[in-house]
Amino acid sequence: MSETMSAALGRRVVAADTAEDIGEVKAFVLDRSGRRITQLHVAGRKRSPKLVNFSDLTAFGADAVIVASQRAVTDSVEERADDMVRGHVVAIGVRVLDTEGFEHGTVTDIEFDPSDGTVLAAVGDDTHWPGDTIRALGSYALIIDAPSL
Amino acid sequence: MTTSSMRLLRAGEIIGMPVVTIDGGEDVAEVKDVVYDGANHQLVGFTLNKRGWFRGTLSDVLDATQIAAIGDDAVMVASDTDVSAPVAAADSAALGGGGDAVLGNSVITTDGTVLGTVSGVLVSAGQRPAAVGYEVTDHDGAAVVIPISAQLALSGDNLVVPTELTSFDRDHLAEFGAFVSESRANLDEESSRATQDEEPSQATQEEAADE
Repeated sequence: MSETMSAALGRRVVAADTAEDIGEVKAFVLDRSGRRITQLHVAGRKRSPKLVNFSDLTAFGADAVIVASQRAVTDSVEERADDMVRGHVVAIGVRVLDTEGFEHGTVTDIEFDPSDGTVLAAVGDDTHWPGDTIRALGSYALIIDAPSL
Repeated sequence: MTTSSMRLLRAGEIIGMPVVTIDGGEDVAEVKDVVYDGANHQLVGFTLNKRGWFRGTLSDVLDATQIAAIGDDAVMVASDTDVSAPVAAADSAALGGGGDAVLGNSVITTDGTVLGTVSGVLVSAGQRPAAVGYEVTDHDGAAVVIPISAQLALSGDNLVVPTELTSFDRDHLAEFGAFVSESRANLDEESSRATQDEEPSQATQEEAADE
């Protein structure tokens, strides 16, 4: 089973213990490898975001994302999360560059495993790049393995 | 043995390219100029500029040995720690700058014929980037490419080349790339054979010990 970032953006985020709405999926935080979603930006503005760790999600449903506890929401923002929430590093729209120095267009979407946040593929206009070929996601590019000849 | 054509870039085409880290996807610099050791016909590395609106010269340089690959769109390095190696060759100079200049040298054959002037340096792209040829333009503007070899001599004013040197049409770089690929493959093969000759096999060593 897989989800796409574009479909998940805007989805309600609800706390399982209080049944209260926490917010909505505003942005995804991926680690430097570009292979895993580590956090979701669920509330607050870009300068003072509230985040939940992907590991604190109990369900990534079609209509709502369920967080184990309201207490899982944190406003402690590390540098990587800050870069992604503010848009200094983006997953959708970033150029794709291979390890040999050739560009391959831009990322139009990301497919991920909703059970653990593993990136399954980066999607482009005419192609997609499997998650295990992704090397890094930075402010300049998503780096992928050079296609074998 | 079949040898595929090598991709080539004019050194000037690399200037302005971003330098991007494979482990981070960050553009840590851009190529300001190509540092070239004319005496040994070797690509030494690149001087760098900062990226972004407030760009300026970086004191860091990129040594050619630290380059992971050069493509059409970027110079790739493994990580940002590779962008700090000092330029090794004291005689090297930026192609676009002064010093032991290469561009503009008069190209003369060993029998005294002037072929033109050096108008560019060709660099092999991909992994193991290296200077592989000089672009030579004559008085009429026609250009050819000559392969870099040990037979060339460069003074800073003149580049003396063997009369029997094979030159290639500048508009047919693929042909030149195939020639360079084949030469490099032959060199690798010879080097490998020489190494094998120097290191006797384990069986040979055991036979010698028995005797």
